[in-house]
Amino acid sequence: MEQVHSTNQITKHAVIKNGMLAGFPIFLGYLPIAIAYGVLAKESGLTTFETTMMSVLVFAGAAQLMAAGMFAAGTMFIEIVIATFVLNFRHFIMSMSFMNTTKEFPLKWRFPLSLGITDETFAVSSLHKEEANKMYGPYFYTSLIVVAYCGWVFGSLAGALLGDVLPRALSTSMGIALYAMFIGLLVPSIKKNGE
Amino acid sequence: MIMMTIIGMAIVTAVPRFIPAFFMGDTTFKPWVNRWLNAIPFAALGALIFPGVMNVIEDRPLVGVAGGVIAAMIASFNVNVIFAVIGAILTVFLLTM
Repeated sequence: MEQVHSTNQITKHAVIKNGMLAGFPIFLGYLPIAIAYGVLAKESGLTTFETTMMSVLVFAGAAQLMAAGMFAAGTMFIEIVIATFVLNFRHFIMSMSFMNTTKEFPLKWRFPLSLGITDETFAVSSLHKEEANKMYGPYFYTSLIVVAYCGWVFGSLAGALLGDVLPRALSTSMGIALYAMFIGLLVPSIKKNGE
Repeated sequence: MIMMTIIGMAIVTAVPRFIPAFFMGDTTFKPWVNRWLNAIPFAALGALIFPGVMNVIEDRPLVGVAGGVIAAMIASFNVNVIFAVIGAILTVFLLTM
């Protein structure tokens, strides 16, 4: 696979912008879940710092919501860690798939990118895999993941600090955001295969 | 103790994520393995959409399905995915008013 040196210059700036645009629907989808997590974690007895640090360090929605519930039930350290491992092991398979599409990148890019793999960032990145062969490909995936990560971390912080900030009608409606994004990604690729 | 648990969770989440970064780089696979790896995103997407979309509004699965159908319709025009997302949010918002 050789890099595309197109005559109309691809700028680094434009690639970063495209990556952020691709990540924005994830940002929207993460916000209500992250706020719900922040509220739940605070109710389970975690401090604001602990609630936010879990999002910063773990970055895995389902596992964090589960852990918050387990903290509330007074579960042991080791049980929470084992449950997290089992629940998040699916990212290993996703990482194998994503690292296979980005194998041209140097390790200094692949290592941090692999840490940003969630169900959502993996799905969106995989459906933009043509970016891996373009100039500045790593910048595309990095900005996509950073936008999603910011939504997750800031959403958790907002939930912990402010409680349920989103009006109820809006947060339930936003619950469809991630599903709509998955469908919106799937439909064009099904159409492409059908042609 | 809570902080220790969080660090433990971070480690067991990060390790499976980064291990493939080290061994996938210089391995070349048989075509069937590549096909399998390329199919994972679609399998994951399918599993992420169903049945979750039916639980967007508790006890009203059709609201979620309606939002999904609107998203699919908007997406079929090949516009940016964000329009499908906004259209679905609006649909659910209006149906639950």
